[in-house]
Amino acid sequence: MKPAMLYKLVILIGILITGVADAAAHTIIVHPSLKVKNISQALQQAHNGDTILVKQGRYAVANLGIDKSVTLLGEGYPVLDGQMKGDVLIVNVNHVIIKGFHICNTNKGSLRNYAGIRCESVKNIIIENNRFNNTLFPVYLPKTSHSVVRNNVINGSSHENTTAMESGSGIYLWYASDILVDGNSVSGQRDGIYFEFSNGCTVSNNRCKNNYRYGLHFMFSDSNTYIKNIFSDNGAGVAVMYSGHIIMLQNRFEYNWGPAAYGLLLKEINDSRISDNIFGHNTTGIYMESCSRNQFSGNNFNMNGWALNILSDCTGNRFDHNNFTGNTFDVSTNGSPEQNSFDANYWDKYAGYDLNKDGIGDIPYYPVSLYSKIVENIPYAITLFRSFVVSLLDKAERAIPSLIPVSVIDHHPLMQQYRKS
Amino acid sequence: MLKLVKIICLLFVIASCTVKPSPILYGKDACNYCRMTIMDPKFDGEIVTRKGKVYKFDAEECLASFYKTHLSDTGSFAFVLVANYAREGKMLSALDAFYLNDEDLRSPMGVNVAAFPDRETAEKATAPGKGKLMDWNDLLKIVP
Repeated sequence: MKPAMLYKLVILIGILITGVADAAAHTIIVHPSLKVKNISQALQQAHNGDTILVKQGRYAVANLGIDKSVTLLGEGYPVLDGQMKGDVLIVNVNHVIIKGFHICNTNKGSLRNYAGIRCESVKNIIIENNRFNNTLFPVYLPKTSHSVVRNNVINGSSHENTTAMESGSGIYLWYASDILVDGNSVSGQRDGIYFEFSNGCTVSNNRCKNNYRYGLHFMFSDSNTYIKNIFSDNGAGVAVMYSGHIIMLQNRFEYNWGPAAYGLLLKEINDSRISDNIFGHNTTGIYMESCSRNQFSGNNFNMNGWALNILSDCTGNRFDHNNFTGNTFDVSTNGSPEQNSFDANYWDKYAGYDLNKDGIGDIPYYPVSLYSKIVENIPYAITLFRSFVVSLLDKAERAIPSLIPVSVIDHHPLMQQYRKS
Repeated sequence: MLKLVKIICLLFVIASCTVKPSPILYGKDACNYCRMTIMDPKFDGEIVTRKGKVYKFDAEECLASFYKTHLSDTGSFAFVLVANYAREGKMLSALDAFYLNDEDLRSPMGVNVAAFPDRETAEKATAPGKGKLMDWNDLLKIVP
């Protein structure tokens, strides 16, 4: 049998099986005016594979355990109100779909992670098109795998007096694996998306704005992919730590201002690829500590205080074809980071010529300015920024380099901004 | 009169030299060890040197790791403080505190330890037989 035919046959059998399953499955409609008045009543009647359709309305739901593999569908965003009593929904079985609900008001106590939807040690869960409001941990997936969290809108507290300390992570994965987090919008939480010990996940097309601490935060989470997300206006930007084999493509890290705020904070990140991202309007675009063997290419660093702060314990990182424009400082460092390479980047501060017209500057560029070294040691020296003394100092240092680390050097600076063809 | 002025000046000098812990600004201060923003008053810590330099930490494991990497300087530490998990806002001396290692604690850096003033309160915070109780020296052994 040809592979194509085999493929069709598999699909056909699949359709048949689902058709048969559908025929057996029932739909239970829930509304206060009908016979089935609430979801727990519906769950008692339901069998695995059934659909529970919840009509528009307000339902008091607290600590409701879902112990059957059902599809929960909300029509017109019915409100599931936790009344500050604990969790709202607790998924205890595999194969559950929760779609189209407005989930609100979990307990706020700080000793337990109260969740909007808690899925513990289960798999094949789909959480889609829900709205979360005033929930401590809206989507909480400890030890969960092969699941999807898609197109949810999460807003932290609606109360003005809630402080950062009383909020949890928007989408929190703990020892989870193979989860797709796509198209969600998270704001007003402590961390927008938080991964701990979670591997093999894809995070794409999410928007994390105005969270108290980090837009994205992960620790000890290897082999995850982050594509086309927007992280902006978060208290401290994005922090990723103690992980390897990360891929970050086409994300935007923007408007993260503050003394401890970073567009992207990398600590002990190894063997990762960070490409085609935009780092704009941050106090520090990327801050790197103890990072090894990462590749950074095609990124745009625009209008940051420090585009790149690379500590001297970073080794084997490669920077090529990045654009550095309008930054106060392009690269700063606390010492002399060795074995990192800068090659063929565009630096708007580059003042060399290209006499042979090959698009590459004729003399190398030293992205660490003497003044940035001074500011690193004496932060108050920033008051002299753009003064005559400072430009004189930098000019003198460029002519006769003696203090800036010679290890940070771009031998082939581009004359034009790099554009991906 | 001159004497009074002198005394006042002297008082100022003494007052400005007092070494004391400084309050942690949650959501603003960053951890000296891991660089993360300090957010959780249940797990934070602080070291103050005899010269008055303050190091703040977001988790007891960060404080312990920092302590371990500065073992030769520990003589210069005036205060080594950890948050009392059972009572937010109160700090304990790290070297005398009891520590509970329990995965339900979810401390910021993944080691899952919290500090308690005595053995009884620490035992009360965990399910029987679940968490592991330890002292400061045990904590130093389990942190990176």
